[in-house]
Amino acid sequence: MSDELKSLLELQHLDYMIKDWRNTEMRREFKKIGFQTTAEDPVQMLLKKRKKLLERINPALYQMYQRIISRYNDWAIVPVVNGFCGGCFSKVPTELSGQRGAVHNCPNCGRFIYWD
Amino acid sequence: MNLYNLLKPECINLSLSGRKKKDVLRELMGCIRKDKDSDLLVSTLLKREDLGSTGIGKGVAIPHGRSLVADKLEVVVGRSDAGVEFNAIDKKPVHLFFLIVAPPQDPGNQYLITLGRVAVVCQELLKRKRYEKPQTPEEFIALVKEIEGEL
Repeated sequence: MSDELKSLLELQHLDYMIKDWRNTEMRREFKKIGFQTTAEDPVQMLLKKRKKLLERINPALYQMYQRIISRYNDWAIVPVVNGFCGGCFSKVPTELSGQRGAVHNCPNCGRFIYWD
Repeated sequence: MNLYNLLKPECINLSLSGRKKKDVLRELMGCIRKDKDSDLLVSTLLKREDLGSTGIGKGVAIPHGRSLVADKLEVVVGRSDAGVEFNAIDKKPVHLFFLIVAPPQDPGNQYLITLGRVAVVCQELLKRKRYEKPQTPEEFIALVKEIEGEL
Protein backbone atom coordinates (compact mmCIF):
# COMPACT_ATOMS: atom_id res chain seq x y z
CA MET A 1 0.00 0.00 0.00
CA SER A 2 1.36 3.41 -0.92
CA ASP A 3 2.12 5.98 1.79
CA GLU A 4 -0.56 8.26 0.33
CA LEU A 5 -3.18 5.58 0.64
CA LYS A 6 -2.00 4.73 4.15
CA SER A 7 -2.51 8.37 5.17
CA LEU A 8 -5.97 8.35 3.61
CA LEU A 9 -6.83 5.17 5.47
CA GLU A 10 -5.57 6.80 8.67
CA LEU A 11 -7.85 9.75 7.91
CA GLN A 12 -10.78 7.41 7.40
CA HIS A 13 -10.11 5.72 10.76
CA LEU A 14 -10.00 9.12 12.41
CA ASP A 15 -13.28 10.07 10.77
CA TYR A 16 -14.93 6.92 12.13
CA MET A 17 -13.71 7.91 15.58
CA ILE A 18 -15.04 11.45 15.22
CA LYS A 19 -18.39 10.03 14.12
CA ASP A 20 -18.51 7.76 17.19
CA TRP A 21 -17.64 10.59 19.58
CA ARG A 22 -20.32 12.79 18.03
CA ASN A 23 -22.88 10.07 18.73
CA THR A 24 -24.58 10.85 22.05
CA GLU A 25 -25.65 7.27 22.68
CA MET A 26 -22.09 6.10 22.12
CA ARG A 27 -20.67 8.72 24.48
CA ARG A 28 -23.20 7.78 27.14
CA GLU A 29 -22.18 4.13 26.88
CA PHE A 30 -18.46 5.02 26.98
CA LYS A 31 -19.10 6.93 30.20
CA LYS A 32 -21.13 4.08 31.66
CA ILE A 33 -18.32 1.62 30.96
CA GLY A 34 -15.89 3.88 32.77
CA PHE A 35 -13.89 5.43 29.95
CA GLN A 36 -12.65 8.82 30.98
CA THR A 37 -11.28 11.45 28.65
CA THR A 38 -8.45 13.81 29.37
CA ALA A 39 -9.67 16.18 26.70
CA GLU A 40 -12.51 18.49 27.61
CA ASP A 41 -13.94 18.08 24.15
CA PRO A 42 -12.76 14.82 22.52
CA VAL A 43 -14.26 15.79 19.15
CA GLN A 44 -12.24 19.02 19.05
CA MET A 45 -9.11 17.10 19.95
CA LEU A 46 -9.74 14.62 17.16
CA LEU A 47 -10.42 17.44 14.72
CA LYS A 48 -7.03 18.92 15.60
CA LYS A 49 -5.39 15.57 14.88
CA ARG A 50 -7.28 15.46 11.60
CA LYS A 51 -6.01 18.88 10.63
CA LYS A 52 -2.46 17.78 11.37
CA LEU A 53 -2.90 14.62 9.33
CA LEU A 54 -4.20 16.62 6.36
CA GLU A 55 -0.78 18.29 6.09
CA ARG A 56 0.56 14.92 4.91
CA ILE A 57 -2.18 14.34 2.34
CA ASN A 58 -2.11 15.55 -1.24
CA PRO A 59 -4.93 18.15 -1.54
CA ALA A 60 -6.19 16.60 -4.77
CA LEU A 61 -6.52 13.20 -3.10
CA TYR A 62 -8.21 14.77 -0.09
CA GLN A 63 -10.68 16.54 -2.35
CA MET A 64 -11.44 13.21 -4.01
CA TYR A 65 -11.79 11.60 -0.55
CA GLN A 66 -14.31 14.24 0.50
CA ARG A 67 -16.24 13.86 -2.73
CA ILE A 68 -16.50 10.09 -2.29
CA ILE A 69 -17.56 10.42 1.36
CA SER A 70 -20.26 12.97 0.55
CA ARG A 71 -21.50 10.82 -2.30
CA TYR A 72 -21.74 7.51 -0.48
CA ASN A 73 -21.82 8.64 3.15
CA ASP A 74 -19.90 5.58 4.28
CA TRP A 75 -16.27 4.92 3.34
CA ALA A 76 -13.87 6.16 0.72
CA ILE A 77 -11.12 3.56 0.90
CA VAL A 78 -11.99 -0.07 0.57
CA PRO A 79 -10.11 -3.34 0.21
CA VAL A 80 -10.32 -5.48 -2.90
CA VAL A 81 -11.56 -8.83 -1.69
CA ASN A 82 -11.19 -11.82 -4.02
CA GLY A 83 -10.99 -9.41 -6.95
CA PHE A 84 -14.12 -7.47 -6.00
CA CYS A 85 -14.37 -3.89 -4.77
CA GLY A 86 -15.21 -3.86 -1.04
CA GLY A 87 -17.49 -0.85 -1.58
CA CYS A 88 -19.70 -1.66 -4.57
CA PHE A 89 -18.82 -5.36 -4.97
CA SER A 90 -18.12 -5.03 -8.67
CA LYS A 91 -15.23 -6.86 -10.29
CA VAL A 92 -11.97 -4.91 -10.30
CA PRO A 93 -10.01 -5.28 -13.56
CA THR A 94 -7.12 -7.67 -13.01
CA GLU A 95 -4.64 -5.34 -14.76
CA LEU A 96 -4.97 -2.92 -11.81
CA SER A 97 -3.76 -5.53 -9.36
CA GLY A 98 -0.41 -5.50 -11.15
CA GLN A 99 0.20 -1.95 -9.92
CA ARG A 100 -0.60 -2.42 -6.24
CA GLY A 101 1.77 0.27 -5.02
CA ALA A 102 -0.09 3.06 -6.84
CA VAL A 103 -3.29 4.84 -5.80
CA HIS A 104 -6.25 3.38 -7.68
CA ASN A 105 -9.97 3.99 -7.74
CA CYS A 106 -12.64 1.45 -8.41
CA PRO A 107 -13.69 1.99 -12.06
CA ASN A 108 -17.31 1.47 -11.05
CA CYS A 109 -17.86 3.45 -7.82
CA GLY A 110 -14.73 5.61 -7.71
CA ARG A 111 -13.72 4.62 -4.16
CA PHE A 112 -10.02 4.26 -3.44
CA ILE A 113 -9.10 0.62 -3.49
CA TYR A 114 -6.29 -1.41 -2.01
CA TRP A 115 -5.44 -5.07 -2.16
CA ASP A 116 -5.91 -6.97 1.06
CA MET B 1 -25.51 -11.66 23.11
CA ASN B 2 -22.84 -13.80 24.69
CA LEU B 3 -19.24 -12.75 24.74
CA TYR B 4 -17.87 -16.29 24.78
CA ASN B 5 -19.30 -16.84 21.31
CA LEU B 6 -17.01 -14.12 20.01
CA LEU B 7 -13.89 -15.51 21.64
CA LYS B 8 -11.54 -17.69 19.65
CA PRO B 9 -8.59 -19.58 21.16
CA GLU B 10 -6.20 -18.05 18.59
CA CYS B 11 -7.29 -14.58 19.74
CA ILE B 12 -6.40 -15.17 23.36
CA ASN B 13 -2.88 -14.52 24.58
CA LEU B 14 -2.45 -15.38 28.24
CA SER B 15 1.21 -14.47 28.41
CA LEU B 16 1.68 -11.01 26.96
CA SER B 17 5.32 -10.02 26.94
CA GLY B 18 5.02 -6.28 26.14
CA ARG B 19 5.44 -3.82 29.00
CA LYS B 20 4.47 -0.67 27.14
CA LYS B 21 1.16 0.42 25.69
CA LYS B 22 2.23 0.36 22.05
CA ASP B 23 3.95 -3.03 22.33
CA VAL B 24 0.93 -4.61 23.95
CA LEU B 25 -1.49 -3.17 21.40
CA ARG B 26 0.74 -4.51 18.63
CA GLU B 27 0.90 -7.89 20.33
CA LEU B 28 -2.89 -8.02 20.67
CA MET B 29 -3.43 -6.88 17.07
CA GLY B 30 -1.03 -9.58 15.95
CA CYS B 31 -3.68 -12.14 16.88
CA ILE B 32 -5.97 -10.72 14.17
CA ARG B 33 -3.63 -9.29 11.55
CA LYS B 34 0.06 -9.83 11.10
CA ASP B 35 0.53 -7.58 8.07
CA LYS B 36 1.22 -3.87 7.76
CA ASP B 37 -2.48 -3.05 8.16
CA SER B 38 -2.13 -3.99 11.80
CA ASP B 39 0.33 -1.09 12.32
CA LEU B 40 -2.27 1.25 10.90
CA LEU B 41 -4.82 -0.05 13.35
CA VAL B 42 -2.39 0.22 16.24
CA SER B 43 -1.88 3.86 15.32
CA THR B 44 -5.68 4.35 15.34
CA LEU B 45 -5.91 2.67 18.74
CA LEU B 46 -3.16 4.94 20.05
CA LYS B 47 -5.08 7.99 18.81
CA ARG B 48 -8.04 6.73 20.80
CA GLU B 49 -5.78 6.32 23.84
CA ASP B 50 -4.71 9.97 23.45
CA LEU B 51 -8.28 11.01 24.26
CA GLY B 52 -8.04 9.22 27.57
CA SER B 53 -6.82 5.76 28.50
CA THR B 54 -9.14 2.83 27.91
CA GLY B 55 -7.69 1.41 31.12
CA ILE B 56 -10.84 1.52 33.24
CA GLY B 57 -9.10 0.65 36.48
CA LYS B 58 -8.61 -2.42 38.67
CA GLY B 59 -6.16 -3.83 36.15
CA VAL B 60 -8.47 -3.87 33.13
CA ALA B 61 -8.23 -2.11 29.77
CA ILE B 62 -10.62 -2.25 26.83
CA PRO B 63 -8.87 -0.72 23.83
CA HIS B 64 -11.24 -0.39 20.88
CA GLY B 65 -11.59 1.01 17.39
CA ARG B 66 -13.29 0.74 14.06
CA SER B 67 -11.65 -0.18 10.80
CA LEU B 68 -12.42 -1.66 7.43
CA VAL B 69 -9.33 -3.75 8.08
CA ALA B 70 -11.70 -5.84 10.21
CA ASP B 71 -14.39 -7.45 8.12
CA LYS B 72 -16.28 -8.52 11.24
CA LEU B 73 -16.27 -7.70 14.91
CA GLU B 74 -13.21 -9.20 16.57
CA VAL B 75 -12.39 -9.56 20.24
CA VAL B 76 -8.85 -10.28 21.40
CA VAL B 77 -8.00 -11.11 24.99
CA GLY B 78 -4.61 -10.59 26.55
CA ARG B 79 -3.29 -11.23 30.02
CA SER B 80 -0.07 -9.92 31.44
CA ASP B 81 1.15 -11.34 34.74
CA ALA B 82 3.72 -8.58 35.16
CA GLY B 83 1.25 -5.83 34.30
CA VAL B 84 1.47 -3.03 31.76
CA GLU B 85 1.71 0.70 32.35
CA PHE B 86 -1.38 1.85 30.47
CA ASN B 87 -2.13 5.20 32.14
CA ALA B 88 -5.25 3.60 33.58
CA ILE B 89 -7.61 5.86 35.49
CA ASP B 90 -6.40 4.46 38.83
CA LYS B 91 -2.77 4.61 37.61
CA LYS B 92 -2.36 0.92 38.36
CA PRO B 93 -0.78 -1.53 35.90
CA VAL B 94 -3.15 -3.37 33.59
CA HIS B 95 -3.22 -7.17 33.68
CA LEU B 96 -6.27 -7.97 31.57
CA PHE B 97 -6.98 -6.63 28.08
CA PHE B 98 -10.01 -6.95 25.87
CA LEU B 99 -9.28 -5.46 22.46
CA ILE B 100 -12.34 -4.84 20.30
CA VAL B 101 -12.09 -4.05 16.60
CA ALA B 102 -15.24 -3.53 14.61
CA PRO B 103 -16.05 -2.71 11.01
CA PRO B 104 -17.36 0.85 10.53
CA GLN B 105 -20.91 -0.24 9.95
CA ASP B 106 -21.99 -3.20 11.99
CA PRO B 107 -25.53 -4.52 12.01
CA GLY B 108 -27.41 -4.10 15.28
CA ASN B 109 -24.68 -1.91 16.75
CA GLN B 110 -22.74 -4.96 17.89
CA TYR B 111 -19.73 -2.81 18.70
CA LEU B 112 -21.45 -0.90 21.46
CA ILE B 113 -23.24 -3.95 22.79
CA THR B 114 -19.97 -5.90 22.93
CA LEU B 115 -18.18 -3.05 24.71
CA GLY B 116 -20.90 -3.04 27.36
CA ARG B 117 -20.85 -6.81 27.68
CA VAL B 118 -17.08 -6.90 28.07
CA ALA B 119 -17.30 -4.32 30.87
CA VAL B 120 -19.88 -6.45 32.72
CA VAL B 121 -17.92 -9.69 32.27
CA CYS B 122 -14.73 -7.95 33.42
CA GLN B 123 -16.37 -7.03 36.73
CA GLU B 124 -16.95 -10.73 37.35
CA LEU B 125 -13.51 -11.78 36.12
CA LEU B 126 -11.96 -9.40 38.63
CA LYS B 127 -13.75 -10.95 41.59
CA ARG B 128 -11.21 -13.04 43.48
CA LYS B 129 -8.97 -12.54 40.44
CA ARG B 130 -10.79 -15.28 38.56
CA TYR B 131 -9.07 -14.19 35.34
CA GLU B 132 -5.75 -15.46 36.72
CA LYS B 133 -6.87 -19.09 36.91
CA PRO B 134 -7.18 -20.20 33.26
CA GLN B 135 -4.00 -21.75 31.91
CA THR B 136 -5.13 -22.16 28.31
CA PRO B 137 -7.29 -20.07 25.92
CA GLU B 138 -9.90 -22.81 25.98
CA GLU B 139 -10.08 -22.62 29.78
CA PHE B 140 -10.45 -18.84 29.53
CA ILE B 141 -13.39 -19.19 27.12
CA ALA B 142 -14.94 -21.78 29.46
CA LEU B 143 -14.58 -19.34 32.37
CA VAL B 144 -16.27 -16.54 30.41
CA LYS B 145 -19.05 -18.96 29.48
CA GLU B 146 -19.45 -19.92 33.14
CA ILE B 147 -19.57 -16.25 34.18
CA GLU B 148 -22.14 -15.43 31.54
CA GLY B 149 -24.21 -18.33 32.76
CA GLU B 150 -24.22 -16.77 36.25
CA LEU B 151 -25.30 -13.32 35.02
